Amino acid sequence: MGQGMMELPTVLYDPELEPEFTTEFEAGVDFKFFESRIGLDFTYYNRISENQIGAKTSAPSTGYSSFVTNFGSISNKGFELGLDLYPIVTNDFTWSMYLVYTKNKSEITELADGVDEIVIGGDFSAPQAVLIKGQPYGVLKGEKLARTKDGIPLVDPSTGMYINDKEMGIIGDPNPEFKTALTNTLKYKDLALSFMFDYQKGGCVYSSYLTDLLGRGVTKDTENRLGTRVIKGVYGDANTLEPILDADDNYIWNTTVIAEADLWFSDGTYSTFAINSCDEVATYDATVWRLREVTLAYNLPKKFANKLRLSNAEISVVGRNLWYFAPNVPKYTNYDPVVNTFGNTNVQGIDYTGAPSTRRFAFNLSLTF
Amino acid sequence: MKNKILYLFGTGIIALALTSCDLDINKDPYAVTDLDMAQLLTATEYEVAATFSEGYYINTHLASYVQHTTSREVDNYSLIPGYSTLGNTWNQAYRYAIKNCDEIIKLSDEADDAIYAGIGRVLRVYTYMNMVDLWGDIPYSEANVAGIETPKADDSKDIYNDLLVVINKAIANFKDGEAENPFAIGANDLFYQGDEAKWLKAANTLKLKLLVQSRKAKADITNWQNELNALLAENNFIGNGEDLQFPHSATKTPSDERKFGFVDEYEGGQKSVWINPWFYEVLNGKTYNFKQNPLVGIVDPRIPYYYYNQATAAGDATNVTDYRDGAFISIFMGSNSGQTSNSQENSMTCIGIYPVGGKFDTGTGGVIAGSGNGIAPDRMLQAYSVPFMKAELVLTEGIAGDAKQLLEDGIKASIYHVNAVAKASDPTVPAIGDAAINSLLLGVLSAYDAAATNAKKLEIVMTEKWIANFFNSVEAYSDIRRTGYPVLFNGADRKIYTPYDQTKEANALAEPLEYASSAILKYPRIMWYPESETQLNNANINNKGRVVSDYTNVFWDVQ
Repeated sequence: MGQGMMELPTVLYDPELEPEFTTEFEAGVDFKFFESRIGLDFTYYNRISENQIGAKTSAPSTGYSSFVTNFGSISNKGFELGLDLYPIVTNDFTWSMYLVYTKNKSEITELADGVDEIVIGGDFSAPQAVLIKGQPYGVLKGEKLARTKDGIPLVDPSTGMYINDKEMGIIGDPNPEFKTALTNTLKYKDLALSFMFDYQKGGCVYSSYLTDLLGRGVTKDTENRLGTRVIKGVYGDANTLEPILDADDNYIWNTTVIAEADLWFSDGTYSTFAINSCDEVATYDATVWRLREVTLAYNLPKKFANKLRLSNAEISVVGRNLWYFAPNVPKYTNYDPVVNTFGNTNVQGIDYTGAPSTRRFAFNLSLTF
Repeated sequence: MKNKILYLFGTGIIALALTSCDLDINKDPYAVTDLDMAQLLTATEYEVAATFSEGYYINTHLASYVQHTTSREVDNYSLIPGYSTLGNTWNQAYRYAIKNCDEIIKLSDEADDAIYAGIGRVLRVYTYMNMVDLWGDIPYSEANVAGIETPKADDSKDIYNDLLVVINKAIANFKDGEAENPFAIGANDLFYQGDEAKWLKAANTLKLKLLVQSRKAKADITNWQNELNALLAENNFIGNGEDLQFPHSATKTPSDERKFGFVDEYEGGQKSVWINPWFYEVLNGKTYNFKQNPLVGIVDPRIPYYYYNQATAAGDATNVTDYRDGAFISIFMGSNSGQTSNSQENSMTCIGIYPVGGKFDTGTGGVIAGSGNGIAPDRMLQAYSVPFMKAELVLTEGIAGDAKQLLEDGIKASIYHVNAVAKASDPTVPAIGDAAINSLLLGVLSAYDAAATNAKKLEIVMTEKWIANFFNSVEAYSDIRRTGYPVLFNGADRKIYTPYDQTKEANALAEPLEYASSAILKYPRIMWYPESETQLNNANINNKGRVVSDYTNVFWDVQ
């Protein structure tokens, strides 16, 4: 109607907000042996961050939707190891290796009274990255398969497919168990070649991209699509989520046949392994090997450099992300599990069909006058 | 030498620039620090209207509770605590409507602005009254109070008593001729543009509604009889054209100002509002299902303004129908025919021009896509409710008055409103003329005269009020619970009848087809508390011991 509107905000800020405090204990040693041919660097740290500033959801009758205040504490413990080796050192040729290993374990040690979990991200109602007391930072919570007490998944006898659990649970931890990288540098006179491999173990990624690939059957993983399939599980009741037992109180293993297409694609009435799957099934382990960087550099000899009135000149060619291999994602999808829709934020491990990682080449020219 | 001069010159300029900057890094020059009361008023009016906007939030599904519409998603009174629309109205009321109302009241009292304070109070009482009517005991004294994170619920009768005090204060505000009134008011007041006389009428009407609503428990309200007598003696209520309603326009950018119900139904992906066949039979005077239809044989002239038939009497439906009568295609509440989930996107009967600014029914059929403009107001207090409320008081409380004349006034006022809304949405639509009005009145008033007891007369009055309140669910829901009229479908004999066959083709039957309904739940007297509140305030607000279809009532809902 052409009238401006102004209203009170729905986020309430604590007038007595305090800063966050981090207390850290760190200890390390630095060794060098054999005239610095072998160097060892080890650090252990234990960090506790308290008085975190966060938003607590408020009951609607308070008039606010969230209340920003201090609460909670997070602990991060871990160690870092660096190994510096020079296997070959001669006048013309040097080979050096640098190995680094890091392991970090985070844990939410405390949240506010009466708060069981805080959601930190996720665009849909599931999966969401949450903070739960006793769990690592930002674990993913989502729908899971219904299982027996021994962890065997339940199969619905009328469809031959898995049954989803009614309650959501933790489906994965996007924090990796450890990361390690090895850099090799070879120098021959004015030429230097270095390449870096790295390996990340653990972490998880919920990937809607993989569910699309498998669900539409466009990769060689689903090439074999004739014939019937029987998935592994025991019969269960979809309403009570209890396994159906036979006369001797034993589990009845699934023998209902389904088609290959039903494994990956459904109309939404049951969960599959791809399209319309429950979140647990769409989450993959993010272990990945990678050739992260290869650099070839040439340092111009001083004679030439001086002729051009330069004190130093160097040309180099760099290639990044040249090769990767993720063993725990479907083989023919060539998927890079570090793709993360939320980028460099608190929320990790969720990929809503983000752009894939790229291979990059660069050419550097460095001139010192 | 040249370099040195350049150096000095450059440094001098930079030094000058640095000292002339007086922006503080901690102060954002775009951040709003002063409260603009005029804009706060507009925002508050918008938020209050949005809370109970027709076809939006809880009213999307409450319309099926009063059997104006049928809903596939919430059939058979199934608004469970976790349902989003139930929680949306609760959240909207507290976080947006009430919070801003309280702020207006506080700042206006401080600045001695009686108009703003009165408006804030009227809107606050309106919002809280509807909330209590739906949920009974709700947070009131501890709601929106700084420092209280888990407000406790107040007893619904205590809230009503306090609301009566507040509305009296509002009336005093509007009668106050000596206040300073420093805040500007005019176009920013979307209801009455600052007209104090109209606001006073609205406040009086709201007070009448509060007293009528609580009449069965009047002993619980302080001074009920005296308040009512004084109010009726003053007789200063909303008249035709003075309704308290939130306007909508056809503007789409920069913000969408069309009625929410229109946008959802006419431009949403799938239509979800079905016209309830029980309502259809009352409007058309049929008795296929409503065997004791009090308005049998009377065809209401408001029909083409209320709903629109996409199909024609002889044309095919998109799929096999559940309930069909000529061009009217819909689904029946609790139907077990198995045909209710068939898609009827292009053949179902849709809500029309009066409820949401949709399409006027000329009887030729055709899909609604691309028609309508969403220009229809959100009704909050209507002129037509006043004669109906007075008629109810005459028939039940024995106050002085002619109930038959009041019934006629109410129907005429409702038709006046239908004409006004239809004309504002589409000036080419014809108005309901005197001939049609007189014909309707002839039928209704004869039925009224034929009604033997006051209870039967009340049935006619309340059924007509229910018709007038089509799609205005909260008021209709309170009326049904308080008076027991109109009589609703309760599936007692588990049978539903459809006059046309359950086929794709139009096939009129000699005898209506009988089919089964599921067991219809007992009529819910109150709403569940929504999960958005029970999860965060469980100690005070929870659904333990709350049985919505049996003995949990609002205080005025005395059996």
